[in-house]
Amino acid sequence: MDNAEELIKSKVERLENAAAVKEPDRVPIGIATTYFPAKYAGVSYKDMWYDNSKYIEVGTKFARDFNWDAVSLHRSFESVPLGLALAGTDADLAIGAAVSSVLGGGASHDILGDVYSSNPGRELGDNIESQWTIKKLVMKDDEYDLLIEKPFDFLMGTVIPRAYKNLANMNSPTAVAALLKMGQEIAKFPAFLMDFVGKMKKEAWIPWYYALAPNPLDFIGAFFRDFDTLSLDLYRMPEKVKKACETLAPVLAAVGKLTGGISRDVTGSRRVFCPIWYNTYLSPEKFKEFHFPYIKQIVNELIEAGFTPLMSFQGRSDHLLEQLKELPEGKVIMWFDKTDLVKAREIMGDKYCLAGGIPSSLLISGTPDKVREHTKKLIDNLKSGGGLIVSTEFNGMGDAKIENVRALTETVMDYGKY
Amino acid sequence: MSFEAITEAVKELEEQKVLNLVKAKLNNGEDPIKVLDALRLGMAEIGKDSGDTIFLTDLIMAGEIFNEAMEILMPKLVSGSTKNLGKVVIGTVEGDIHNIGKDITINFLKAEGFDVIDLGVDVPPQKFVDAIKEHNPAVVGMSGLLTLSIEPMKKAVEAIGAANLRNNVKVIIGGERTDEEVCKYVGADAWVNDAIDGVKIIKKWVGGA
Repeated sequence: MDNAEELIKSKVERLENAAAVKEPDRVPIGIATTYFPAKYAGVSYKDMWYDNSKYIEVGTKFARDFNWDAVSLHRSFESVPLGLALAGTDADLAIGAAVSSVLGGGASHDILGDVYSSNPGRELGDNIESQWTIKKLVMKDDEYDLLIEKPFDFLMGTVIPRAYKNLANMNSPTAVAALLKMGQEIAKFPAFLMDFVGKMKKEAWIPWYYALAPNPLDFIGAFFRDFDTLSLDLYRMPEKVKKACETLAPVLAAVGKLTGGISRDVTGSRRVFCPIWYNTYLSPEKFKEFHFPYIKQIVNELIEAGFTPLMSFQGRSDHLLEQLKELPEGKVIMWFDKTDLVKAREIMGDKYCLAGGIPSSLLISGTPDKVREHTKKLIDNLKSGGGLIVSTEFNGMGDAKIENVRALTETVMDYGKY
Repeated sequence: MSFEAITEAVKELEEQKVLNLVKAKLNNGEDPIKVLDALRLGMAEIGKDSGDTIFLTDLIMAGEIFNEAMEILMPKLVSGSTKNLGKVVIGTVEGDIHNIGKDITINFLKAEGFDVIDLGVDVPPQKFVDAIKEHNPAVVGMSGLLTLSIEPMKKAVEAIGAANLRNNVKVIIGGERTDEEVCKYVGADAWVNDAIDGVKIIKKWVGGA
């Protein structure tokens, strides 16, 4: 695009105004989607995952053709525990190891042999979305104390050998080979990053997010225990779960600030993605006890450091809206999946920026007319005073119809003007 | 010590208390069927006090308690002596490997007295068709966590139709991303985001409630 730099500037301003609940020139659109752009460009999910040049091709084509205010095309998270295990030793290397899967693609999944991910073109068909399920428990029932007392020793000594098949025995040639290969991947990463970001910026691209701050409960559920066992832990050993969350919170806040700094410097975006996952499945009492205190701690640290937490409340949070009012007004983006945005505005007041409003099911099974009608209604209901970013459910539009995504885009661009 | 104590402890998700009560009842030579009924009643009452709002982490605990109690109870139960509301075939659709929603639903269906045939995860359309032919269920449940499950659900319903079995069964879809729109698109008879709602609908279909 000819005026890419100016476009980027106007997008940054539009998004920052919306986040601060000031009226921008137009309602922004910001979305995380990995699969739809691949489908749109005629590239298989497998190639989106494993072929970096195809990934760049997909990203640039999508950015050029749709010109959204912000879009993220992240891949996976398999190497995050390895990165975290190194966080106390070498911060740069830790980040390199962690983001080698998030941004760098599926190579680390192949190298490490993790128990987490099933990927397109590997465990799954070439055009099936990657899925995350812990196939073998990484942390046992009686190991909370180890995590609480010496988190980094526990991560390296216990988590890593169990989470990664190829690092099961650190003294084996298999493990040494895997680590050397990871080193090669990490070394390749900066050049890839600059190549990707450089080409994307020419298309006036801004990431919806390019930095990550997980929260402790979700982190334990996603990487150490699994959904079922952690759910039982909340009943069987509540104090241990809370202690473990206390231990992890400052470490994860540091991850957010470190990646946030990279994002700010490389892409201009100050948003830090804070994925929140257990919320849907917790009663308001349990959310208040196990989830929210640590989320607030991390979010407040990020705000103090000048970042805008992009809080992705996945699933439904209608039952938690009263509590969410404890978050600072005008400083966070509340990105909801299935939560009713009108109800959220009603309960939380008009000082929070809300993102979301477009159900995946509408883009998948609806028609362009229905999409237009829905999007206009959303904008009519929530545009006033700023504080609205049109978005979809987290990474949920892989099977969307192209004509529906076009209708969404056109409606926001035309009808969303202030 | 009454059977209501078991029901109450299940309802309050007090794991150890339930298991102790069940063991004590059996040791006293009480009728295991009555113990089972008390457990089932407790499962059916979970969430009633909070306006039927039940959360998945609570359901997982409830399912765990029920299964643990059943392990103690099972050897004492004579087969055929318990109520049977009918058969349900259930599976997570092709391409999706998530089992939690499906497994929770199975626990609660079993607690209600359904005979459940679990097809597992990543179930291709033909497997649903074959299972209907083999088991002749009243209801087919299709689970899927992700939006990628919508198309496979549609294909599975279509395959059931192509095998001329669609009129023999009711189809219910369940999962985070399902809604009315998806239900119509897929061609199912009902949709739910919540396992307990699903069990209620299935019970209504078979005349159990």
